Amino acid sequence: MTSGTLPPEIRRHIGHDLEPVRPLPPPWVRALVVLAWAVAGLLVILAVGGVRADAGELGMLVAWGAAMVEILAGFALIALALREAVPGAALPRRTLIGALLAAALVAGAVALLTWMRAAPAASACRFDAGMSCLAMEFALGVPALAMTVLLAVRALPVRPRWAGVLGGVGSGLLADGLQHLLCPVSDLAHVLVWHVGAIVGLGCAGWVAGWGVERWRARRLRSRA
Amino acid sequence: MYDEERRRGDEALAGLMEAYQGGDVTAFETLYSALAPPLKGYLRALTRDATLADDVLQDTFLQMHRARHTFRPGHAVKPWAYAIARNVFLMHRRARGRRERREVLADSTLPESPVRPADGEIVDRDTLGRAVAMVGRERCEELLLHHVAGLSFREIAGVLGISEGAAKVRAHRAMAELKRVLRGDRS
Repeated sequence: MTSGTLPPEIRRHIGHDLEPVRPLPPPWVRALVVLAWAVAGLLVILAVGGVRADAGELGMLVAWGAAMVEILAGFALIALALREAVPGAALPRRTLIGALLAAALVAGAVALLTWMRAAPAASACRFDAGMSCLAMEFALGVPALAMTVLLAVRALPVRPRWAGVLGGVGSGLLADGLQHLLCPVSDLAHVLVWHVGAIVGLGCAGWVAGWGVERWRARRLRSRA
Repeated sequence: MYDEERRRGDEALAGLMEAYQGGDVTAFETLYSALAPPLKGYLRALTRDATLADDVLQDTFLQMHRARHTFRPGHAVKPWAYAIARNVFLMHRRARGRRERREVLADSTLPESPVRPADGEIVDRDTLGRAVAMVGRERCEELLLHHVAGLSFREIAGVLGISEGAAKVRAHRAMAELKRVLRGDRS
């Protein structure tokens, strides 16, 4: 078999499927699919409920600018997850950890800026408001995560759990960028617990999805053996 | 001279890969004959089991076929192929759920290494195999990918998910360890 002649089993297998294939587009192009979801979400928000009541008080930069920064950071993380999923293009662990820390910095900075600019009367940390934010972020983030995982699996990730975490945190940032335009609560505790909590939760969900992909592949290999 | 040859070889492989993506079975056959022997050497070093290495090699090519759309034209084929081979090996290890055996490499399981004749005179393959086994597969992986598979440190970084600097440092450490083991072996 080392001789380099194609074994009959492989020849038979590939003989059934030799259709020309289109090479995968670059990761950032594939990530645009997920960004399109965020843009659709934004349009729905604008059409249905409008932006938060204190948007004028926060100013253009803190209301819209911060949301856009979060959405773009989420897009970058999703593109990194899709790059990580391509064989031979794995990223150093330091880069992956750096990207996650940068995501934490962006989320923290948005929370802090909003809290500093908002009127004290607007600050209130209530459990029901928190749960509603958490549910909304998951409703926006889970479809984005599902799309990212599907795109990553199609590219054959060597480390699916890492791709999952990056995709999860990226989807969380996308969702939080949208929720930042909706949620009228600027209290630091509320944003750190419920909004950042949702990002962390989606990151964990991404890790679990990656772990599931690994298990599924191992099971498929075992069943073939 | 060697770099120029390497570059031409990489370009030829990339051309074959693009033809294969276009549905050319002859290109796949040529790719197989070029990639199977070095990949098998790498997999033998990872698995330390000739039969298992054959199974993993077959699964690697089937996986490469399924994932042929993931190869990006204009990029090198070898890091892509070695990353898939490593992935399939890890999947096999997980699926089997058994720990790697730390047995000494038999002569037949040694990778075919492009060792220059002068280096070949320093130690015989059997001794080198024993030394690699003593140092450990994980610690020698960068060394194998660089010296056996002929990948650059940048390509190794992409295969293993580490930085280029880390790949260089690990390969250097493994080489130093290998030398230490070989010196101890001789004394």
